[in-house]
Amino acid sequence: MQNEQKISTVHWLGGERFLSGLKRVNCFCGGYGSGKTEVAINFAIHLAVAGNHVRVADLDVVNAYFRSREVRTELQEYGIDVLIPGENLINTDLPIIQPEIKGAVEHPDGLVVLDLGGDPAGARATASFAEAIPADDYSGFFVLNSRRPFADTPKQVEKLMAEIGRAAGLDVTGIVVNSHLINETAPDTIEEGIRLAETVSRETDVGIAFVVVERRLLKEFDAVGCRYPVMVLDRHLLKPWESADKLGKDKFKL
Amino acid sequence: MAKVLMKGNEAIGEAGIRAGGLCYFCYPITPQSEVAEYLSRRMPDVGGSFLQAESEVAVSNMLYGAAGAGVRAWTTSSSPGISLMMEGLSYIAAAELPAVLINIVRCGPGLGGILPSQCDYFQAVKGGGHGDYRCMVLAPSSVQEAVDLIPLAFDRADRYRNPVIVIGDGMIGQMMEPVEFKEHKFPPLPPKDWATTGCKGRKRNVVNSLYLDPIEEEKLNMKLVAKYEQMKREEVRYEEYNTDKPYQALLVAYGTTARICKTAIQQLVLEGITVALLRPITLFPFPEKKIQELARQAEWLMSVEMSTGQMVEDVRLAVGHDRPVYFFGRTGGVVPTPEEIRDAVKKHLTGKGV
Repeated sequence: MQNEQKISTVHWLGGERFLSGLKRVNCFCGGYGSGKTEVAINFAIHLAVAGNHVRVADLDVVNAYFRSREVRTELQEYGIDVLIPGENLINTDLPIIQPEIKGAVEHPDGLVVLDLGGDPAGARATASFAEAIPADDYSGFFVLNSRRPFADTPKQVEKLMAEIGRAAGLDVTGIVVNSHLINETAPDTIEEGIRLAETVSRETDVGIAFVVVERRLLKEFDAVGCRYPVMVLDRHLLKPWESADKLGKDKFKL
Repeated sequence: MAKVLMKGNEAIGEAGIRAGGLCYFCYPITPQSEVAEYLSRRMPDVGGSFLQAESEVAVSNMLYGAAGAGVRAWTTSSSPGISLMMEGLSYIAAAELPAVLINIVRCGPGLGGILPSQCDYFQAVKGGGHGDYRCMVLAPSSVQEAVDLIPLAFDRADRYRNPVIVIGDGMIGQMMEPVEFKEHKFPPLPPKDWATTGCKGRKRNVVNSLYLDPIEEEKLNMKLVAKYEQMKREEVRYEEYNTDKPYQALLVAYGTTARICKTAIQQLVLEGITVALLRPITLFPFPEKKIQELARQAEWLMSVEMSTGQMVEDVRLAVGHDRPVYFFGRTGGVVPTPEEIRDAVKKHLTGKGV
């Protein structure tokens, strides 16, 4: 990756085969802090930029902080439909699932990205419309961060994956390696995540769908040489002191 | 140990365990319920006690009992929950018991909302409960600092036989940051020979806060004052930012607000405006002498808070009439942006006021 221009714009590396097999409904689940929301947001934006009609549903009913609803304006600028609870309920942690979400899942056109809450408690939100999800046109991505407590050994990851799948009433069809320490991620962090995911994959027969690499790491991490597709990630959920030149106060409530 | 990515609330739970806080009582409340969730999962591994009480009032009395029996007892809650604990806290201070309370502050007053705030400064620093007492108050500005201050909180609670409050806004509890659990070494503590551990073979110990003799009650008050004075001499902690070069104005902010101020200061530097920051780490004892000293080099000061103006009163007390002390705050769960802090600084520089 010597090409500076490519580094600043590329979305996927070696993602052709993965993208050609893309399903209509794409559900992101995982433990707290695995980076589900950031991964789901990037996944949706990349698809929208490539010309797809994308609907994103924020199903995080567990936690009122750092959710995809916080970047809804930004997503809407990409032409993405964002399904979130009504405006007056946006800062609550009430368990509200909009009927529109079920509608979006059932709609035959366009792509759907579902961003679930963390852990089994958060994944339970899909159970109410799991039967509406088309089994043959669906992917369930389990987002894995090996630097999270309770998710750093194969046994723990397998347990969490099974619990979340059960709570959601959905199958996990692929692992997304998103090992990171936010601004302290190093190439080693990602390699370590891939190794953990490979062990889990052997035990569970769930394959590795893709690996997530933050754009600033493309110069250090050999994404082209990676044995899995690489999705490039730009951070959208920033902390208030990081938001200086990127987000205005209207866009970022937290 | 390699760094891990932890949510503030989980990291607080782990730090409490590592500091020997093996007796934890709680009643869940957003935005800190993950501490309880984490500890309910971890306490059995370390042989500690996790107890979800019937109410926050019960929690504060369980703290009183456990601390009186000589164990390291602690709780976490958020604003309305902490209010309910104030009676017990006053008893704990009066009975000179060590206990650690962690308040992950949400917006108020009343039931308020679940978003971050710093509106409990008065409650933490000026007493909160009834009677003449003070708590030592520690205010971390990152998850790492929270993890580093919790062992100190337990140590100082034991050393002073006084409650210690760790105060963080909702963001400290909810955000994820890389953390490392370091070894913290403290000088040996005196034995807890006052604890009610069973009096076989010795005179019985009594933990109480009832003083019907006014002279005895006044003696207790004077003894407490002596402890607070010692804290003022020995426990003041703060961070200075940009104070090593000349500056036009001095901001005072604690917790995550101080991090937003730093970003604002970096933006101001690009416009040729030099501003420094003093971040109190201990809110009690307050770094009043340091603020006084730094104020001399500034034209004016501004306290930046997620409140309608609480710490600003202590900044004004420290500075007296030497310099104007302005205030900028957002409330209700709204977090100030670096841009609006920058603009507030610029308005004062041009003399227009905000």
